[in-house]
Amino acid sequence: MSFFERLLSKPRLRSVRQRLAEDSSAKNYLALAQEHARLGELEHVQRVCEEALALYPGHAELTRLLERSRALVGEGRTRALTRELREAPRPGLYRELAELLLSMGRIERAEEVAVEWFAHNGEGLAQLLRAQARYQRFLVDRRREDGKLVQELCDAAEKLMPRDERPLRLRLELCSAIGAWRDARKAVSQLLEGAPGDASLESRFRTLNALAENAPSFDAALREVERSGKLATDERARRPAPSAAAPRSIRPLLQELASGPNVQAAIYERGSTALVQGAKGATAERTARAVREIVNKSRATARRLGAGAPLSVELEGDFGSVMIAPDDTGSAALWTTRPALTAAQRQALLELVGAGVDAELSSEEAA
Amino acid sequence: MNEVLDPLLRVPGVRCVVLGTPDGVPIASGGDLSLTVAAEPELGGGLGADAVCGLVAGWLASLGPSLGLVAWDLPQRIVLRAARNTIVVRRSPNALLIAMLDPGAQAEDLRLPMEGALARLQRVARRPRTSSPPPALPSRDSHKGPASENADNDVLPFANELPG
Repeated sequence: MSFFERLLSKPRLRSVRQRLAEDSSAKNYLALAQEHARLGELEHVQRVCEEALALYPGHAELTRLLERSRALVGEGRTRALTRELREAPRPGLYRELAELLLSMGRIERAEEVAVEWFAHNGEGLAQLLRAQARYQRFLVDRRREDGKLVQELCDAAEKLMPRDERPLRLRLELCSAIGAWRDARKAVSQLLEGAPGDASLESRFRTLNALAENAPSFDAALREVERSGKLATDERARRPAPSAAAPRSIRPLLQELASGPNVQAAIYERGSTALVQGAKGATAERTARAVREIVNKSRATARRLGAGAPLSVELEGDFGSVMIAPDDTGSAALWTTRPALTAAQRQALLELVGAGVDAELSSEEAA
Repeated sequence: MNEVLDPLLRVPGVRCVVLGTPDGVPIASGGDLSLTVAAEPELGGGLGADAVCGLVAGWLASLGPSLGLVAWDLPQRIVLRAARNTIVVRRSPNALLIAMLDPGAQAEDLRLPMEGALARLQRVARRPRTSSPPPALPSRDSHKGPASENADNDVLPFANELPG
């Protein structure tokens, strides 16, 4: 931005700030953040967005702007670090770059940097960062090979950093995620050797001791995760706590979705059962079957393209638009005759499938 | 094809763009396809434009029977949002435009640019050629047999219908 443009933008920025001082609405915060973005002041954009999100948590546009500005700042730093590494590589730069890429969700690149770092000076931390990157990938793809590699990388990191507890913590996380409770107990006992008397570790050891009796081996647990696509932690998170409030049921949410303008059908599926609102009889059955098949085929394609687990599939055509939000246990879909779904409909659908709601699947409505 | 793909690559968050035929043959590609890592071991470390185009075309073809259950045509626009990328596919009768986005990028930001790219593609396809290539087959006017009946329908004659 030129000097004159910057000079001219000052009064505009001042007036937006004054408007915000008079009325601290989300709209005014957004206007101020956008004004900073126009000036290329990304740190200010982040600060304004964070302040606004503390007052208006979950505001879609502010969240998006914050994510975008963080990504841009991260990309700038990534470029600078890559350039510095090309000129004069040193462990600190490798570490910062790998950690930055991991925080940005660029797992493959983070792993590449960790491999390069390990080849450069054989440091244990490089192996640990590679293990962390691969673990993130395992959580998304749930492939046995990834889990095994994380285990191997943790072993290598432990040998190179015998006094460091981070590889053990990662191993504990992996074993707990897949339900290999015996291995998890072993990791906790090793951690307790380094920190004897740690109350939280002792409590965890007692819990794992109770679970370890009939627990599968590490390999068997990995095989089960790959087969079912479900982690042990998913199961535990889904199990309702006895003291929790009664879970919301699916049907009212589906009815609410189906009552919207131009909505043809709202569907929720779990296992071989489907709840359909809007469409009736054979149409409902066929629509539910089509949704299930689309989810299965899209899941396979996303995996083959290396994109990870699908979060949503949107189709737009002569029939209108359909959005399907798949989950580990089920999927929700909405079909409207409009050319595209509204942001509110998208949000409602994602909330429906991600809310951990307890399905009330009655036999008369099952398609 | 750069004039078709370049505007898409300038949209923030777009990792790569592939233009292909509806049956999965890539025509042109841009952006960083090397970042697109294949999960399948048999596909090697990364995916090329041909693999991306082929997999997406195969996916669309496999959706056909499922959509047929509810008598829907193949969709014109498909967005597959996944954990690591978002894949946006815009389908026209004679081309597939595929864009892969970084996590966090919005597929909606690409709606108008993709429509524009397809419109530009149609314009490029309609542009008259400066020099016409030599014909691969004899001109229709040379046929005096039954194939001349098809002259108006842009259909080539079957081999057994050719005179001689």
